[in-house]
Amino acid sequence: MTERVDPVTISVIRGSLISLCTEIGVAMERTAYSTILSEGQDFSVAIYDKDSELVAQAAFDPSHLGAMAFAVGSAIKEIGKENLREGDVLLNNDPFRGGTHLHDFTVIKPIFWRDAIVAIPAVRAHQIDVGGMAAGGNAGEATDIFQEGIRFPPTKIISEGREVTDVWKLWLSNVRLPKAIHGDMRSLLAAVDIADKRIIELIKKYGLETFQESATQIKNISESMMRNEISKLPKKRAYFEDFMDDTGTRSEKVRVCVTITINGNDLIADYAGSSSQTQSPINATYAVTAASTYIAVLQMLSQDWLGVPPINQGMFRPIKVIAPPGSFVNADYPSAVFGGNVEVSMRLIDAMLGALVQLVPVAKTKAACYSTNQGLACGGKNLDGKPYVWYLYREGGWGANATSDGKSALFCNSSNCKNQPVEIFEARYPWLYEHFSLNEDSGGPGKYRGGLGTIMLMRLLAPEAELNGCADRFTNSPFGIFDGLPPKPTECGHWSDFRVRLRDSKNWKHVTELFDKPSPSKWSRVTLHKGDLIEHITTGGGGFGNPLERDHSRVEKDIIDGYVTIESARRFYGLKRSADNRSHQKKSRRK
Amino acid sequence: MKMPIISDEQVNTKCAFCGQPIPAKRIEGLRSEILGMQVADVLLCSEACYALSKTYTRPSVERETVKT
Repeated sequence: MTERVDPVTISVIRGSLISLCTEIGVAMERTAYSTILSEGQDFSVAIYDKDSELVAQAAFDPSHLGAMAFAVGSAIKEIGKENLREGDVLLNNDPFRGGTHLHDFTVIKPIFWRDAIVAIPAVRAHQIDVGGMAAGGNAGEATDIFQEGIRFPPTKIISEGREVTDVWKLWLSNVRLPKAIHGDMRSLLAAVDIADKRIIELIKKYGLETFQESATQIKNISESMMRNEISKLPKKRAYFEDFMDDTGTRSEKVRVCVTITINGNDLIADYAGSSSQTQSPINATYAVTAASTYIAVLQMLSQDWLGVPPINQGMFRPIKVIAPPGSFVNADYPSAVFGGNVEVSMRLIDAMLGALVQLVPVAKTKAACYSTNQGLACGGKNLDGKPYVWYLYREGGWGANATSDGKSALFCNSSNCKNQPVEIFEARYPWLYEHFSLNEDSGGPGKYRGGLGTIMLMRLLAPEAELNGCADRFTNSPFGIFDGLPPKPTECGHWSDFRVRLRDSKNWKHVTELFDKPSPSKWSRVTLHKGDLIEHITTGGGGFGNPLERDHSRVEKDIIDGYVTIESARRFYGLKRSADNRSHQKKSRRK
Repeated sequence: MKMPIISDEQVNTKCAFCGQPIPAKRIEGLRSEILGMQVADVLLCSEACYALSKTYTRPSVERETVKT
């Protein structure tokens, strides 16, 4: 083994691997069939070393990236390296084998050099349908994993370069859109093939020993960076708890609590005391809880780093996650887990941020973001009679920090996913956007204001459609910090919200009233008809600092821009009548 | 752990310290063998968990409900 590889070569190999991950991602984006991948970018790519440790990733979905190593490691160990051959490709979507939820398919291709595995590229992508009780998943009322869809333990889908056709036939016979799924999977397979080609090129250029030693050093450097940041924190414990509205099947709140212990240059996040696992999809697997913990730590501790943070397994080594088995942050098989990766993860991040606020300097802290995926899945027949399935997530407001207002209309804190454009959406599906705007007054008041959520109204144009929802933060608000306030709720007392207005009605109603569902935010199999309208609202982020300390010129600008109402300016920011009259006149002129 | 078990049973085998699922290797058909580190009567996922388990004091589970 090479004793030492020079830092420049290590840096070049690191850059090449990150660049490779980006190239793979672009290839997937351009070749995928479903809008959730081609537009929404709900996928991730990463390179693992021969020991299944993360070496490089591109800036795609953090909730995937932190969790994917568990799925890769589990698959390689379960099948055994001695049973793998050049040209094999594995699939693993099992939440209980290192996965998150069934929709996240991880495709793994061990790369061989002279008959030995030398690297393992993997891609994870949200599949638009996995069968189960609800079109597009999102089965808000599921009570076990079997209702959620098809589960693949680590499975060879390509064996020595050839498709294992029986597996594909079994699989595609159990989903609603086999053509789209097959198309999306071809893009995943193309992605790992590109990785295979590029990694072999790197090994030919630098030699295997240099490549592998560089991978080791890349991880060690990141570990040092993270340990250095943790060592600056006070050696004490910090506790925080937050809640989820309900489980979808029961109305009780679900508690997530975390105790952070700084032990030298190790950070231990212990979720002891969190609620027991639920008989609903509001459960997380260990991989989700670990990834959420990593995300929160990175958000708080990597702010001083220049350039792209070298995120890899080394960075996670100093972070120990303790998640009690049988709790909803580490649910046992065969729990339903769809909501783990889309809703529980955000509350885990919120709890972690709340605890870290007590440990990091004030300048690095920030309030909670809107923290709900606001997932909505729909299935039906298009105007031409062909079946379709879509899955939408909604952007909302981020929390304010010590120097600036929160960002508005961004995707949640666990993901880098993108908005699926209105034009693409309307061209593909029988739905019409009737309204899409920022949600005025939804930012938590503070010296620095929380970012704003959004309001979307959409009308069904086809005869019938089935909707499924999985969301949260309806009855339990995001939090502000240092006297910053939570966002203001909507008129009905919810923060984020979902309502329906039937074609012949003038009244907006929740699914609890219209369809007798136990929860307004988590439900499945609601049937709508042509002309029915849906309203999808996200709340904003929490405020930072006392709102009475906010510069009144900024409040006036917020009124003019339509971010804050005059009523709220008076109530929360103490704006005088003369000032708000002036703002009102300017706003009227602008209109 | 040498006892072969049906693969679906192993998914609930978790580290006694951190709770991380411990993978199992397939040995034949539907049977598999749990990997991991047996220490006395408990199964752990790693040396790191073993080392930490000797010094770490768990937080008390029941607490006052507090919220910012």
